[in-house]
Amino acid sequence: MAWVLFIVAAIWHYFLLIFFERYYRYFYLNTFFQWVYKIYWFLMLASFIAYMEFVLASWVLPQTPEWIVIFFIVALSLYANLSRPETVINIGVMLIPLVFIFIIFLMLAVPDLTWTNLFPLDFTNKKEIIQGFIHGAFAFMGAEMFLIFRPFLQKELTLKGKPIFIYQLVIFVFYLISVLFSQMFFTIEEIKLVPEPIIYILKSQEVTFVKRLDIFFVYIWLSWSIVTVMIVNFTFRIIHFVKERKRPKLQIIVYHVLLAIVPLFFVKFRVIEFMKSSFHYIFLIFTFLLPILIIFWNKWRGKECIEKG
Amino acid sequence: MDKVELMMKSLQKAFNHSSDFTVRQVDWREGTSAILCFYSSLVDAKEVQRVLDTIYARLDTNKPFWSETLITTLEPFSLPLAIEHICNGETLIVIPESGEMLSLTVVNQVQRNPDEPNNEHVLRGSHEGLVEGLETNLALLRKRIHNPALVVKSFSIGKETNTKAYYLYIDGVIKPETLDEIEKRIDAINIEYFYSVGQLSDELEDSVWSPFPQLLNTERPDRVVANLVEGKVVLLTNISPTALIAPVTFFSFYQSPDDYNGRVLVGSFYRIVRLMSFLAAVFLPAFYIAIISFHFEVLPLELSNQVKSDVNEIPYRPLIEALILEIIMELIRESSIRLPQSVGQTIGIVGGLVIGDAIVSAGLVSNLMVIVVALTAISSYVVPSVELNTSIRMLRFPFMLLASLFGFFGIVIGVVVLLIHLINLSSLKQPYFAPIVPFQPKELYKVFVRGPYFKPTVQVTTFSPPKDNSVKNGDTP
Repeated sequence: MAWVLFIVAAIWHYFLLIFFERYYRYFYLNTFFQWVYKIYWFLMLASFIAYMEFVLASWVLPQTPEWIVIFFIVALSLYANLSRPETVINIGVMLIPLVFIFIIFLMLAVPDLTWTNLFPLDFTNKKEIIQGFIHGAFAFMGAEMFLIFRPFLQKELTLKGKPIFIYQLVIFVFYLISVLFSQMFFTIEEIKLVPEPIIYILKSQEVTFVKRLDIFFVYIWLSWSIVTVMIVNFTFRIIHFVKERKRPKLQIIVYHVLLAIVPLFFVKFRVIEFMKSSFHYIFLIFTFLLPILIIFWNKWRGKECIEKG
Repeated sequence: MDKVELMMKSLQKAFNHSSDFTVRQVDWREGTSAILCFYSSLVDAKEVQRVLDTIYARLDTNKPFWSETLITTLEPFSLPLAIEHICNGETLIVIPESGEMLSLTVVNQVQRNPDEPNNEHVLRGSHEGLVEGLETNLALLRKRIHNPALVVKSFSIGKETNTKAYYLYIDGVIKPETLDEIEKRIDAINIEYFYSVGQLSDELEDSVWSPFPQLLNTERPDRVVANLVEGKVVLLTNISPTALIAPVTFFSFYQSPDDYNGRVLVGSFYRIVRLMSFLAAVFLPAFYIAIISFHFEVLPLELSNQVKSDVNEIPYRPLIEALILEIIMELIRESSIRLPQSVGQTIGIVGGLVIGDAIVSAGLVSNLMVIVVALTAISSYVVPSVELNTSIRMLRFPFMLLASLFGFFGIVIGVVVLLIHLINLSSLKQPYFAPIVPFQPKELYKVFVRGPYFKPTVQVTTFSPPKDNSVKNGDTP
């Protein structure tokens, strides 16, 4: 049933983006909400970096000190964020070949897939359906950043229709492949025992040129995670420097130093498990509820943000 | 002391009594005297004498336009102007009586033939090369572009050396902002003594500290023309055969005239091979070090056993092993460049075969490492640009270090840093990593594929001719 719920979540996300595209002008953040979002992104990133370190320590870097891994991840983000804004905006291009490599790796598992694992579909347990939907929607975390960057686009550019549809279709297909492969590779009983299904699928593949495909996947995942860190930090930077501030570079450096220190407190199994089980609900507030509330509130007041494009 | 002698002395003084500076008093018309002065090292004396004979003959017949020929200019005398003319290799006749000077542009230019450049060989196409002379270079370019839209603008570099240089572009093709930018940068050049084209590169580049060249260097006129028609600006100097081209992208360095001289598929294939060579040249030793040091488990079992037995006998860490071989490789390269060509080949054989074999037998490095380093060296020499070639060879060292410290994690760090750097770079304020960043999907294929010059028109096929009423009875139309 997970794959069906994921399709529903993707449709929900598509309509959310269309809603954002229509009303992004009303997403005006006052100082209070700017800080709310800044703290949210900071804590989200701190816990995400802690999770990255946890995965790397578990799979490939068991003997490397935590602080070194975190230092390098944050240092890369610092370098990108001290560069021109275009650099961070465009850095995601590097993910295109990685996504293709990942899909090719996954395709090697096709002979081991059992399509009957996708059925039967059971819609009787409402609690499970809601939880499944929330977990599925979590794949689209960070959609609120659309509202932050949208005013920077050219005014005459319209995104609703084809551009948003293509964007949504690309990420939907990418995620859906992961979901379908995990479901078709493992039975429901097996998947409960496997913490990272994709890594296990790749680890079990026998190919002639390398023995462990999962190790390559971990680094592919690391690459796009580093890009995510850069982009979220860039969003923080955009919001923080809406007001003209003194010594911007120093502030960016201080922010990154904090970002390198805070995750060190989160790199514990219990904390990571807690975050993994609770972030789905927090994200709903900041990606879904709060933006809609802010948009309606500002629409009612007639307050619009300034178009920068 | 009369006026002529006084003037001669002041000219001698202005030229610091140089041995090759010649000043002579010559007879002029109606019993007056003139001063003939020139640098004997720069002047074609026979040709000057021939022109002077013509001028004397005109003077004798009192022709009104005695001074007007294609290579002479009559103008009022001024010492700074006289110095400039003589330094440019012109012969000057100063006429103290009228306060004028006649300059004869008969320069004895020392330059070689426009042979094919040694470092930019092609299999097919033109085998001409630029030389250390602006006029010859312009002739080579004008020979290829018979169009007044090819604009040539001159400027001089070096406050003391006053070296002549040109920048060229095709009007209507070049972007106005590119032209503004290059003119702004040329105006801002502040060099006392100009003696190397590298000085000009440093002045014009957007980021001097980057390992990546932001100006394309070439000695091939066909390559210059290909870039001019793409809207780029070309700089030529009088002292070097190297043309500097901007703005360029990272991928410009991977294009060779051979791509366009050969067939479409062949050209495209070799361009892809060249681009793949970048990955091998930069990442192969780092990848090997990462596997040997951290990630042995990615190797298939059979290979893993063989590699383990091979590596276990080596006393050094893989990084040290790689550094030993890489440094030997760089030494062989440097020595083969500096030595005469015949000896250079011997060095290659001694270095490559003898040292390579001996170093493995001595147990200093493993056989696999020799293969990796040799493949890396071959890959780095595939780039058709000397500048990028050297940059790439240098780049692999930090990657090797990162791989040795952190394995694949180190390589990921290096790749992200490299990408950010490439995205940050610009050439004359145009994005250096285009068309990947900014992402232009419609232009991207041109990086990998050399398209045909024209799209084929629809032709009548041999086996199924189109139905045509005029030929239905078998009559020839």
